[in-house]
Amino acid sequence: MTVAETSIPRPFDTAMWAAAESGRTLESLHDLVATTFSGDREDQLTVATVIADGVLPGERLAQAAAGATSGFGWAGSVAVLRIGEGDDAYTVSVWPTAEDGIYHLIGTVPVTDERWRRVERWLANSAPRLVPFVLNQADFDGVGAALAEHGRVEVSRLTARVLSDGSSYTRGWAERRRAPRPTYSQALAEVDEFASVRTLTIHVADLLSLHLRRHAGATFYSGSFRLFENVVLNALVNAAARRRDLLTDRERRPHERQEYAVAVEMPTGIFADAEAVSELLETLAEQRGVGIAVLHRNPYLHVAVTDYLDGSNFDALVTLDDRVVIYPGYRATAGALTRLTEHLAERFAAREVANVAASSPPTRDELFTTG
Amino acid sequence: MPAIDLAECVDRLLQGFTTYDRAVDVVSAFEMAFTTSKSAVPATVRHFERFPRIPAEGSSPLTPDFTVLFEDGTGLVGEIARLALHDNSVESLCRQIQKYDGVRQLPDGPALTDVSQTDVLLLVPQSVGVGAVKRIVVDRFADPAHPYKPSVPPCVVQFAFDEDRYIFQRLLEPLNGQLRDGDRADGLGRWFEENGDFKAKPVRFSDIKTARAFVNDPVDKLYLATHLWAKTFPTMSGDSAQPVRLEFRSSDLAAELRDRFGGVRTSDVDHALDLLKAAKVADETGDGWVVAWEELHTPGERDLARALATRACRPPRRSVSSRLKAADEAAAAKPEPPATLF
Repeated sequence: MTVAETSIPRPFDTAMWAAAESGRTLESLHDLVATTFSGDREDQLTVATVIADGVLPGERLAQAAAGATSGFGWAGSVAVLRIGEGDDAYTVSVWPTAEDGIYHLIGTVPVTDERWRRVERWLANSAPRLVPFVLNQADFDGVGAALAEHGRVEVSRLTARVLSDGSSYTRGWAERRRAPRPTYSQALAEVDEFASVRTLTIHVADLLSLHLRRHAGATFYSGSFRLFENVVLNALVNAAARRRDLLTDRERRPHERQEYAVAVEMPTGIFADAEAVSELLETLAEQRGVGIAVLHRNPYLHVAVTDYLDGSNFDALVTLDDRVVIYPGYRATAGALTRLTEHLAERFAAREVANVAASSPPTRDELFTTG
Repeated sequence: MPAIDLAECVDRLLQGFTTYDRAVDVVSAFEMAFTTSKSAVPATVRHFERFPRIPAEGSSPLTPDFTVLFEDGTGLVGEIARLALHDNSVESLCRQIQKYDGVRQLPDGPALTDVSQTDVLLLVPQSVGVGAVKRIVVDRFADPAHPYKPSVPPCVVQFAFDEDRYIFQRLLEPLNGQLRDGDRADGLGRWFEENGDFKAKPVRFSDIKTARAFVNDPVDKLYLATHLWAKTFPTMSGDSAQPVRLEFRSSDLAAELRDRFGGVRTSDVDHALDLLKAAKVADETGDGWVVAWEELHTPGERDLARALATRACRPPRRSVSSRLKAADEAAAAKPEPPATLF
């Protein structure tokens, strides 16, 4: 979608900015959508769910966007950034959720639009204090199951990453009376063996149409915003809260044994390929302000990872061919750990980010055989 | 740093780094076997000491790579041997391990406890395994004319990384020593007798390796410099503006590292800081050190260990003080941020 197609500020943006200018508290996101969405095809609400680590995300984002914004204000507890002027103006608002430190970034520009890409860049520049995350496969599956309670869930478009070479895979299904589109689980099953689903365009009977993304976010297209909010946004918030809890207070403490480590669970066998290990090293080091020190390489990998933006540091090990295990160091913020795991999960199409036992001692038999 | 070929200089530093990391792995594998393995062995162990320091009459304290005090009042000393071709190296090693054989007190936490006997477990890389057992046990221990006469021969075990795991194999030379398990429920002597070897995948000891990080030998200077830059200095710096000026005494830093990981000596820290000084990221002050900590950008090199080695071998022109001065001036020239964003 181009800028020209969606120029002239959307009523949602106009209302959002008007509330921010007057400092007026909005009733609710639902009410704002109800009063500003007319049902035309350009109406859509893009949502990205993010985790904040000890910052006010609206201000952080505004700092990152400095120079690009034409205004910043508060509509009650919602921070509003206005970008551009006149007919080209649009807003990005930062909505607190029921969970501490979990926020929705909301706008009306499409997620594929360059204007939202800018927002993603500001978000990347706000790391590690403000970070997106990637949904676990189970969280993603859970959204489909929850929506299925309200009607047949069909998929009209699917994008995925092919596990063998990282290439993109896209499928679309037109609506036909004699050949119904696949259900959520059918669509997922179709690529299960060879690819990891990144996005789905979903239709819940004639109740709701939306776009769901593994990189925690969704876009409301049409239908019941209440259902979108109650099922999809709630699922994103709950998943984010679980991730926040998993990655908070993980730093090593003197004289305390680390009972658990954090694992990024990858597709089966991915690191059996030496090239994938090289790619892992590149992936770890490519993020802004992240450095690596290779302590051991071949055939197992042990890397010290340093987040130079906030001093967090980690030991990352690949000792099994489908898992990166991260042992946090004596400084390890939730933001830096989220950024690290999110980046690995996104690049390698991880199944999940999980808590795992820090130690895996062998039995006597294992010591004698496999080790 | 002597004026030698850059690649050779870097390779030398990296060689020391790799050898030290392998020692960390090997000791961690034995710590796992003795303390956390799902076998009957951990219950027989009263104390495993990774950083032993045993007083010795008339000489410096003994510092083997690890010691094990068993519940039955016996003990074991583990030593990773770096055996060179020349005979002096073997003679020196024999003198060292003969002292271990005579040890009758072993660490029991911070204190020492009497032991009735001490086995010596000598760990050698596979490349020198057969030679080690021949030169130490056959040529010296079994030679009535040679002064190396411990109470029992050492148990020489060779190690290698095989596929995805370390393998520890007792050499089958008939004169090679055996670990004496006595009446203990289980022991490594029995493991070697029954199976000939035991194996340990890195996943089995990675928690131990990351928690302890070092071994009892002097820490390799590049290894410690890398640890300081990748972990210790960032922990000290947090999200302060870079370059971060860090000032400290090496003895204080060594004490901090000992408290958190164990084993690090002030001289280890000084050697690592000497390397960082050569790399122009640290400098000596009157009574300590100053470091300009920041993300280092070395063209074409993402690995910090290699980057530090390269900088140490071919130092950049810019000194620590000039980098810190420039940073201070830039900070002073920066206008105060507005009270509000808009």
